[in-house]
Amino acid sequence: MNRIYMRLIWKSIKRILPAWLISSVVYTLVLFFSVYSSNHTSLIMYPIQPYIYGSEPVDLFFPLFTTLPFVWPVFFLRINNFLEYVSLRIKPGRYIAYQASASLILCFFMVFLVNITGVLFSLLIANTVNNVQGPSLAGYILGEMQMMNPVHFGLLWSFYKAIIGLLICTLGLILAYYVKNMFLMFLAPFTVIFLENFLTAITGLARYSFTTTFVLNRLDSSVMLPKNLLIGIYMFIILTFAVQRILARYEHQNN
Amino acid sequence: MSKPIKVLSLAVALLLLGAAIAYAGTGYVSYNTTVGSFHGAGYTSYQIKAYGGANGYLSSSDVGGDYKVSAAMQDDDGTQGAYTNDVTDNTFYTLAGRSDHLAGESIRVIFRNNWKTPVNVQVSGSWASY
Repeated sequence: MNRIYMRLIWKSIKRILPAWLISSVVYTLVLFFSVYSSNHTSLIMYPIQPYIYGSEPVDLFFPLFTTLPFVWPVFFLRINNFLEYVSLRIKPGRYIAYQASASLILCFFMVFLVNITGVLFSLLIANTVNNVQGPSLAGYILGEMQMMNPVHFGLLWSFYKAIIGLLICTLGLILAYYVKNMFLMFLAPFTVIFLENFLTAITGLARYSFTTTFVLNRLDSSVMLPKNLLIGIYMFIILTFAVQRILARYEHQNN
Repeated sequence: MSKPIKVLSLAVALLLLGAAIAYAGTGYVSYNTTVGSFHGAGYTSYQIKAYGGANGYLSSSDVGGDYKVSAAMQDDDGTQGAYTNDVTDNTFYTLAGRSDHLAGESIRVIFRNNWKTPVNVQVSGSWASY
C-alpha cells in the first residue's frame, strides 16, 4: 500500500474522528452509569460482576453504537454522487474500501477502549460481599479468569467484542452503500439483530443467537459453549453476505 | 383431660405452630410465576418477615429456556433489596436483606428478566424471607 492510499485512509479517519469521539464519550458515560447503578442494586460477589450486569442493558444499543457513527460517510459518498468524481483519479470500489477500512478501524478501537475502561471501572468500584450463596462464574467460558484475573479477561473480552463490533459495522457499511433511505439505512442493523434475537428466542434457539455472542454470560452456563457462539457468528456472516448479494442484484436489475 | 384429647390438642397446636412459622417466613414456600419479557417482572406470594433486615433464601428449581433471571425481596411499599442475578435451574441463592424490611412486614420476591430477553420466562422453586 503506497503513501497515497495511506493518506486516503488517514483523511477518511479524520473525517469520522469527531463522530467517533462523541460516540465514544456517550458510550463510555452510559456504560459507567449502568455499571455504577448495577454495583448498587445487585449482590456483587466478584469485582467483574458490576461490568457483567451493567453492560447487559447497554448492549441493547450495541448495534447502534457500532454503526451510527461509522457508516454515514459511505452513505453520503453515494447519495451525493461523489464517487463519479473520484472515479477520474481512483477506482470507486477501492475508494469505498479505504473509507470502509477507516470506519472499521475506528469502530474496533471504540468498542475495545470503552469496554476495557468499563471493566477497569467495575474493578475499581465493586462492592463485593462474602458469605452469601450466589451465582458462580466457574461454568462460563474463561470463568476462572473472570473470577481470579479480571483484568486479563477484560482485555480478551474487549478484543473479542471489538471483533463482533466489526461484523455489525460491516453489515452497516453494506447497507449504507446500497440503501438510499437514510432512516432505513441507520436503523436496519439494529432491527436485523433485534429480529434475529426475537426469532431465536421464540424458537428456543437463543443459545445460537448472534445476540448471545456479544452479551457476556447471557444465558445459563451449560449452553454458553464456544461452538454455540461460533454458530451465531457464522450465521451472522452468512446473513451479511446474503444481504450484500441481494442488494447488489436488486441494484443491478434497477440500473 | 383424657389422653386422646391431650394428644389431639398437642397435634393441633404443633400444626398451628408450623403454619405460623411458614407464614412468618422462616419456612420455604413454593412459587411458580411468569417473568415478563424485556426486563419485565414476576412475583411470588407474600410472606411475613420474621427477622428485620435478615437475608432470605431462594431455591430455584427451574428457569424457562436457557435464560437467567434476577431476584430480590420486595416489601408491600415496593422497596426492594439488592438483586441476586444469574438465577438458573437447581441452584440455591441468598436474597439480600434490607434494613428497612422490618419484622412483621409483608415480603415477596420480585423476579426480573434481562433487557435482551424478548420472551416471557416461567420460573419455579421455593423461597423463605426469614
